[in-house]
Amino acid sequence: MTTAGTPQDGAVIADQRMTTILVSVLRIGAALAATATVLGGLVLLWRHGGEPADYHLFQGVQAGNRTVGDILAGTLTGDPRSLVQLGILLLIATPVMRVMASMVGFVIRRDWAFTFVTSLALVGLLYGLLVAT
Amino acid sequence: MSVLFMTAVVGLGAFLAGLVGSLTGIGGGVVIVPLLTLVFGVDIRYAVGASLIAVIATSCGAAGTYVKGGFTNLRVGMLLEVGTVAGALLGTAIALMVSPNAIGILFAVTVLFNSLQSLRPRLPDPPVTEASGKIGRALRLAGSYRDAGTVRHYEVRAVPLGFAIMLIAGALSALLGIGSGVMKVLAMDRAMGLPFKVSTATSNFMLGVTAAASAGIYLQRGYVDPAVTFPVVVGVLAGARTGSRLFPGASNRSLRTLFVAVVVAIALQMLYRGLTGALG
Repeated sequence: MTTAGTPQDGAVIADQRMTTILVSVLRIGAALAATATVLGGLVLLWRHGGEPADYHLFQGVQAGNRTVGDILAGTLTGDPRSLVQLGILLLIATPVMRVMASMVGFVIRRDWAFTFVTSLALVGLLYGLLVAT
Repeated sequence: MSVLFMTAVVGLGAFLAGLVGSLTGIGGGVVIVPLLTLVFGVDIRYAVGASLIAVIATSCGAAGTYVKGGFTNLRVGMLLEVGTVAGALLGTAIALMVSPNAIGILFAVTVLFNSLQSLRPRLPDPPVTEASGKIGRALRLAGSYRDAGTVRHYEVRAVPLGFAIMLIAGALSALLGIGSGVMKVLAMDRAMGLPFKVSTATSNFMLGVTAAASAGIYLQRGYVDPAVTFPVVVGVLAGARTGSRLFPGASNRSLRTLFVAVVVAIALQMLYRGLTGALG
């Protein structure tokens, strides 16, 4: 590591626009996830806050709140548990969207090496989320 | 004890987890598992599900600020992410063939050893030779960041070794339901020669992707309970955001000390869970 004065390398802070887009994707994703989770959580507390907390026994989350389709369907019927799960899905989707946005950015910059790298990460992520489960 | 009381205490604990997790690049799962299992007697599987989601929340809550501040090495992060995702898929595939308890004990011993070593005064970095920095140069991985007002430039070496460690980190993430931030930070800091702050910020950036690759499986198994996870997500997001604001002013030295303290706590916890068979 050398100190001071080195001109900023293109590698890290090169494309200010790409940085701005990635920052926006991360912040919007986190904000949307937080909104859904807080809303669902508050309704849950309103209805069940006074009940005793008992999670000693693992029963597994009810079947209706495990897959994307079920969570969406549950949210539409106004189930607060599904709304919390929707927030969690949005949270999981945020890094995926970030990888997608990076890939598009590299395509625009004609950086084929990193287009390839990010597409590998994206394929792996989607496989893990959609196929492997 | 009511649900309301538990939610409030877990939310506060999660805030702390997000704060520490974002500053050290470890992720926010650290505090979550012992808080839920030891204090509230929550089943370990719900705790692991919540902890994995906490890792994603830490990453998403802090990554924007770190990227904007120029601390994250985007190219290194995106390259190594491929390794962690591949590792996570591999881990999922072999999950039924290995003992999570044995893996947990192995993990604990490895990170304990490596992190304690990182406390010793750091030797001057070996120079980046033609051979060691070849891939780093070809992929333009070198970068610079602002530290205490000066712009510091750094080279990146030992990319294949770093990538190999990420494969293992990804597999551990899927097998144990952790973010593997410790291994990521150690790989970049000790093997690849990145400055400590860049290592933690880049680890934080990658954690979201690693944990997302494993999260689908845990969600599908029913480990992610809305009532348990909701205060965790909210607390961690707030804590990570606070941490990311403190980060620019923190020194490499203080962050490293915090990192080692947290690693020792994680390793002892993992060792305990492994030895008592709580990982299986």
